[in-house]
Amino acid sequence: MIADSRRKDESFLDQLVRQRWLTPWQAEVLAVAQVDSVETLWAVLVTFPSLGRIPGFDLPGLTNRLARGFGAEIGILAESPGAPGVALPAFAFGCEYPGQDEPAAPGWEVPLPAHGGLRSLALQSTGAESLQDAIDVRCGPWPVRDQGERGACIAFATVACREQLECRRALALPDLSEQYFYWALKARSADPWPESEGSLLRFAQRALASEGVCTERLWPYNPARVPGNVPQAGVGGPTPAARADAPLYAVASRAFCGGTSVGNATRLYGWLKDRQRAVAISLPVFSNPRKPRSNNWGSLAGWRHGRVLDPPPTATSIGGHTVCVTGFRPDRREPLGGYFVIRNSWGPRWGKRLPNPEHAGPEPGYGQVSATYVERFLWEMLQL
Amino acid sequence: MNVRYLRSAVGLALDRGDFGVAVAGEVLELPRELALAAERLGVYTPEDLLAMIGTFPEAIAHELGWQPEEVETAFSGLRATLRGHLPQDVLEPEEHETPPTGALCPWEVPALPARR
Repeated sequence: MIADSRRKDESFLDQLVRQRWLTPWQAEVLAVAQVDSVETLWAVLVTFPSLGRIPGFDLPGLTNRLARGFGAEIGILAESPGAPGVALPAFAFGCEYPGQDEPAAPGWEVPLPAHGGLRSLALQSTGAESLQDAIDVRCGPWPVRDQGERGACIAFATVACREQLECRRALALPDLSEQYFYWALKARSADPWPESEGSLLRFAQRALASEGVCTERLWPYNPARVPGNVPQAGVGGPTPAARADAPLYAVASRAFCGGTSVGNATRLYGWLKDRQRAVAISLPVFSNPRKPRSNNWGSLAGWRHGRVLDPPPTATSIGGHTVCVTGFRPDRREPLGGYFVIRNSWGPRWGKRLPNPEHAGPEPGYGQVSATYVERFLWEMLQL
Repeated sequence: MNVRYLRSAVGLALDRGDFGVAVAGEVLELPRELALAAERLGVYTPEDLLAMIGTFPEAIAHELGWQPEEVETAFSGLRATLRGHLPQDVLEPEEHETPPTGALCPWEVPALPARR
């Protein structure tokens, strides 16, 4: 808990300053608002989004950090099972490159540039100028799917990466079962929340290596929730045939990485370009505290063109979403050089007006997220 | 003809509760302050501008130094200006329920081994 990591006589805000979550000046502002705990901090941030109007007060970045560090404690992730509160994270969250000789990225902290500081962020981001080439790793037309009522986005993104890999290898696009893989992820992996929706790419990585995934016809996806049965074991499967088929598509990942201080966008771009393989990424979703039903993924721009809005200074993090990145479209107007093309799992009604000359995204259901968004807020990414 | 582009234009001026925009062919012309605000928010098309204002009106208020109510008034005026230049479902979009997501925060997992 938070108190455990506090030094003697150290206030909550002093602790956050010491651990560089806040500047001393921000702490002074919050002290005036009588913030003395995670709960009161979160309440102040979402009640007064106008704090984002203060230069240097990066509300999206701060709430994203809170969501990461204290999500279970403050209950902002609705699907979180209420795991014990986690103190300020003490572990680094670098990259893994199994069998590769690439260095781990330093640290887990994401920079919190002052509003308007995106150009300087671009300069900090090593090699940002190299995000210049259009990339499309799809094998061809590839209609999106729909996760329906279930929080199974990680299964859809990971299975999409597996299908794309198979297409590169065998020149044929298989139809693999998100139903099976979500069951394997929730019921057969190290995922600590088998009875709650949602997961981490870290566990998807392990589930795909150990359990694999069967073809769709052997256990078709059920878009409806089954109360009390998140993995949907026994709901039409997994049959012996499915269990026998799945290991054929098991694969160890080529690379996994958590969000790091700088270089997320260039790393993702490099993985796409150099290896021509899709990448699953998890990113936070941001909402307007005054309009909690709205968010930056579900705006008019998202439903029409798959455009994920960059979070403005008054936005707060409310959870996360995983998608499959299939390409990159350079755009000189974007501070870091362009937009990553994403394959979403909300069916073709999201991004329904694609393709469109003003937006990246080859088909309905695809979309785009800016390189700046990835750079600042990436949670995890996985490549097979 | 649909408007497709945003452009800063001289001679246009903001007034509280009025974005002061004009349509010129395929271009939505904006006062300089609004054009700069749009750029800072990563917005480069008329539809994305409508989306940003509709979803995060406080962000526009923040950028312009307005009250949110003044943004709402200006938003109504903007949509009136764009009537006939953008589809009706853009100007009066239907409400969508955002589908479930499901990515959890990596830093929530207490059992992850420490790695440096």
